[in-house]
Amino acid sequence: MSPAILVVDNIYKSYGKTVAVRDLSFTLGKGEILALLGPNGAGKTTTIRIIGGVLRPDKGRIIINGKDMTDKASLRKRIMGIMTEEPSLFPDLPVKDSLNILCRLYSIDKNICNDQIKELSNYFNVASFLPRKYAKLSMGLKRIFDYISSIIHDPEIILLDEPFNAIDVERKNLIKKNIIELSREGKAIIITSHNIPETMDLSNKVIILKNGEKVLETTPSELMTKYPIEEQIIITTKKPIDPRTRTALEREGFKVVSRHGVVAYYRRSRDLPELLSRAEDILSSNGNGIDSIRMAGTPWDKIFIRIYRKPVK
Amino acid sequence: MKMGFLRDTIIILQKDLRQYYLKPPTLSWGFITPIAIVAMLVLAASYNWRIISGVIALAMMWSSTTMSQVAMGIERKARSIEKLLYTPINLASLVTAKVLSGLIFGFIGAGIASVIASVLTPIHVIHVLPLIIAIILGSIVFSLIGSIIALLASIENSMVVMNILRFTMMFLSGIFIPVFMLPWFLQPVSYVLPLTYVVELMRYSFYGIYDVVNPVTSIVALIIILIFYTVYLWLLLSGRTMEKIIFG
Repeated sequence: MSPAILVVDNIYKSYGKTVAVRDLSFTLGKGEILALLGPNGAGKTTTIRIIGGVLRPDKGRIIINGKDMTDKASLRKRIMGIMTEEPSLFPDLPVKDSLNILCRLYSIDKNICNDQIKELSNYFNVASFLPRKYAKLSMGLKRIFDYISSIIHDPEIILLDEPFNAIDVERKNLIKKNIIELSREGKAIIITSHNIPETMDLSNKVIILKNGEKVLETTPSELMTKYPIEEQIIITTKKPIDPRTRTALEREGFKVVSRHGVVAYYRRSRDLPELLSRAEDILSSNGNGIDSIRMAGTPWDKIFIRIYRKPVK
Repeated sequence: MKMGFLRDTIIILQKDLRQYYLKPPTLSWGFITPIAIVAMLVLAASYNWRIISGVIALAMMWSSTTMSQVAMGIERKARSIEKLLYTPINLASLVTAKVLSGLIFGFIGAGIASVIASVLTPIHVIHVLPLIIAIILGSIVFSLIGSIIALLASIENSMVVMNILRFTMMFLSGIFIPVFMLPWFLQPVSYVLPLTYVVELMRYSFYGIYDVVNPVTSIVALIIILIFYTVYLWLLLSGRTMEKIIFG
C-alpha cells in the first residue's frame, strides 16, 4: 500500500441542526483514485470543501504528509487542486488571462505557466478557445477549463467535484486518460460523481456517503464480489420467436419475454461476446436472427441503489 | 506573510479592475448616474453654489459603493469567489482588493465631478488637505458599505438595499438641506451617515465654512465609522456567516 498523503480523521460538519458530514475518516495514498459517491445531499461537496480548506470542520483533522494541517488551510491549498462542482473561472476575462491569474496566485513563474497552459490546452484540444471569454463558452468547454485550472499548478492532491458533468464523450475520455496519467505520476485524486459507472472505471477505492455518513469503504472489485448483480441485455429478434426456438433459448438460459424479445444475464463483460454468439447460433439455426441489442442499465447503478436503500446504522 | 497579502491583494485588484470597470451595472450606477446627477445639479445650482461640494461628495459615494458592490456581487453569483478561495490567498486579501477597487472608482467619480464643477462654476479648492482626507476616508467607507451589502444580499437585492441607503444619504447628509434645518427626529440619523461628514469636509475645503461639524470632528467621525465597518466586515469574514455567504 502506498504511504498516505492525505488522512481525513473523523471530520464533522453541521449547519444548525443539519449534519452535512458526520465523523468521516479515510486515507488516500499517492497514486490512489478515490471515488466519493452518494446521492444529492450526501455530503460529498462539503467533504471536498473541508479538505480544500474553504470550510472549517466543527471537529476532526486533516493530515497531509503526516502533518496536522487542519488549521493551515492556506498551506495545504498550495499542494491541492480543486475543480468545483459548478463553472467558476472569471466570466468576463479571456480564459488564458484567468489561468494566468491563478498561476500568479500559486506563485508559478510566468513562462512555466504559459508552457503549462499551452500543453494542457493542446492535450484537451481547446487551445483555440484560450482567447475567448469564459462566459461565452459552452458548458462543456467551461468544465474542461475548470479541470485545467485545477491541475495547472501541478498539485499533489487533486479534488474533482463532478468532473464529467456536461462534457462530450471525446473530451470526457481525455479527462479520464489524464486522471489515470496523473495517478501514475503519484497524484492522489478524489472524484465525486453522480455517474457511478464512470467513476468506478477509474477508481481503486470507493467511499459511499449517505446523509453525511460513510456507509461503505471498499474497492470496485470487492464491491462487485460482495454484490454479485447480473447485468442484463435485451435482444430483439428479426422474426417472431416460434415455440421450438423458445425452448432452445430457454434451455441455454435465455429468457423469452415477448414475441420478439429475449433477455440474457451475465456477470462479467468478457462473457458478453460468447453469450451473443450462442443467441445468434440458436436463432439462425431456427431461421431467425438478431435485429438489435440493448443494454438494460449497468450493474453499478443497481449495486448503489441497493446500498443507498439500506438504512444507516 | 505581509508581502504575500499585498501581492495577492494587488493580483485580485488588477483582475477586478479589468473585469468589472466596464460592466453595465458599474457604468450605469457607478458612472453615468452620478455624473448625470452632478451635471444636472451643477447646472441647476446657479442660485446656490454651496451645494456643489456636496454634489461632488455624492458622486464619489455613488461610484465607490457601486464598484465594490458589483465586484463582490458578481464574484459571488459567478461562483468565482469559491475558485479564488481554493487558491492560497486568504479572504482578507480578497475583500481588501474589492474595497480598494471601490476606492479607486470613488477617486474617479470625485475627479470627474470636480472637473465638471470647476468648468461650469467658479468654485475652487481653498483647503487641500481636508479635501484629500475626505476623498480617501469617504471612498474607503463607501466601498466598505458596498462590500458589506454585497456580501449580505444577492446582487439583485443588494442594488435595491444600496439605493435605499444612497437616497437616504443623499437627502439627509446636508447636501441640499443643512442638517440643523432637518426635523429634529431626522437629525440623529444624519449624524450616523458617513456622507454627512464627507460633505462637511468638502464644504470646508471649497468654501472655508461648515454647517454643523468642524473639520477635525468630521475626520474623527469618519475614522470611527471606518473602524466600525472594518470590524463588522472582519466579523462577517471570520465567522461561520462567511461560509453561509459564500456557499448559501
